[in-house]
Amino acid sequence: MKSTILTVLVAASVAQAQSFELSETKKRIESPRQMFFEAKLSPFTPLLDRPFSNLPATERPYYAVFGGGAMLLGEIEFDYQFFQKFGSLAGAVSVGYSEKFGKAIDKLTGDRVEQSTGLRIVPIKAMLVYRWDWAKEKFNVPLVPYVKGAFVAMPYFLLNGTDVETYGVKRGEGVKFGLAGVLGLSLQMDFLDQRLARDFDSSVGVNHTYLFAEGTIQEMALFSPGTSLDFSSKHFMFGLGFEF
Amino acid sequence: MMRLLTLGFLLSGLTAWAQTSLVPEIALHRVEDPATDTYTFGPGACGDTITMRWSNTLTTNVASCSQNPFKLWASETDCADTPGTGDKRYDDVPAATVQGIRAGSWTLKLAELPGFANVPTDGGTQAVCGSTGLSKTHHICGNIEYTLFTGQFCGTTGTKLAAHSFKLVYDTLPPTAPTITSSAAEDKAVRINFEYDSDTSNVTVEVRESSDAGEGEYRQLNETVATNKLIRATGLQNTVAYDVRIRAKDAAGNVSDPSASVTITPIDTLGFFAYYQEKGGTDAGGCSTGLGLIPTLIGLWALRRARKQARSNS
Repeated sequence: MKSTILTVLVAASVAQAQSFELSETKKRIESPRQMFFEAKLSPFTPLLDRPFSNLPATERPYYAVFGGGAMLLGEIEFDYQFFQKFGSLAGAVSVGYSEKFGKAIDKLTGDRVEQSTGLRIVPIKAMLVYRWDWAKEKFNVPLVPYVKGAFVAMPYFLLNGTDVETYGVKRGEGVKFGLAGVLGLSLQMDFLDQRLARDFDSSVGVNHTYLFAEGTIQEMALFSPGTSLDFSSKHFMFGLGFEF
Repeated sequence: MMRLLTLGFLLSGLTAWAQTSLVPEIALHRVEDPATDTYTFGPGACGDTITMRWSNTLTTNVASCSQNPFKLWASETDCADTPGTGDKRYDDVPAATVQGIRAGSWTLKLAELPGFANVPTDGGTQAVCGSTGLSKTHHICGNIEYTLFTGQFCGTTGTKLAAHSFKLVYDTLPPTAPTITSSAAEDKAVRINFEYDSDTSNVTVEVRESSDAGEGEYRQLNETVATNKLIRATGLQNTVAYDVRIRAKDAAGNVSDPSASVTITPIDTLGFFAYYQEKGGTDAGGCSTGLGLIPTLIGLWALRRARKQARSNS
């Protein structure tokens, strides 16, 4: 009986050693990684009604015209990693697009009319990104938490009918600036099919593939307080990331 | 025995397929618009000359035993195997050119198409390019008689019509007037939804102030492709009543009678921006916050400093 247990233990330790060797070999043959690409979507509700909190909800502009619902924001992001020791630190840029359309309001009656009115935004961010992938690299833990700090420039276009809307001499288009903080968690999906993941690396150079979710707090009224257009938001984004 | 029969059947089928695939495939189209196989024109284009192109689209060259040329002609009837009486012939293309150069072009004068040049055999009035109340279709045809080299001897013979015969349509008949199905007032504009007949390519909108009685007061404002089924008359004044009607236009430029008119008054509307301003918003648009550029300036300063540092280290 003792000899059987001994045999099992020896076999297990040999298997573990082989597995470790395989893992080490994998690391050695992995292509260098420097970039990260993300594609993500988010239900995005700008806090355009925040300066009008003293009004009844039905009279607040975003609620009255667009019904208060969320926009769908799509975004892509490129990171360049310049530090890879205890986690990775990267400089990044991202660009997104979102639009929402509603019915214009009859100035005399206050009724909604057939003419459409719309809001289009193009958020552009310059970011610093820190991903704590030390545990993933060292112990193959497939979870990578990360934080991002961003400077945001957001061109916006407000339409009535097919044209940018004017009000007196004011035009409904411009650029807003702000800051954003992001906290996220990504799940490395290589463990689902390690061979496929290695092939993806050897054939096109993508080291790892991630599914991720991140929470964003975006403050766009820091530099223009009062009742200016406020595109601040708190929103979650979900997406797919490729490290290469 | 059965196997031999099957083998023979397969071999003959394969040979037939190979011979079929070697027959030149010739396409005809207009140089200016290769995507369509019909060119519609009106009286205004009667003095025009158009350039046609033929192309042998078979990818492999053909070892043809025949030296018959590729014939080109225009006909008032569907393309036959050979040009008929009254058809307008164009210069033949030598077989060697069809097999070797594989493409070419020629010009034709619209006014010389057979439907305009021939005196009707039934004693009717001769049509003239430029006359109205007339619709006439011409077919541009091409055909080559071939004899294929089967590997040992000249074998199968046949004729091959151009794969896409091209149509030239002279059209002076206006389309049916379109129908307004619904309309809506917008800010300094009106929106018209409509239905149209198959001959219509574009729709135009005309307006007049309702207080103007005269027919001549209508002015044309906008035009759209018919498939949109929606047209806007823009540049109007709010709170002024307008009579609005639409007309159909076909590809040859013929314009229909007007539709029944509707009376609409453009309204003052508040889009999101105006509504926000009405509620006390103060945003002026533009890059309204110079303060927002501060992080950018800090970033540029840091970048410049880092590059300077890197240069001094090296």
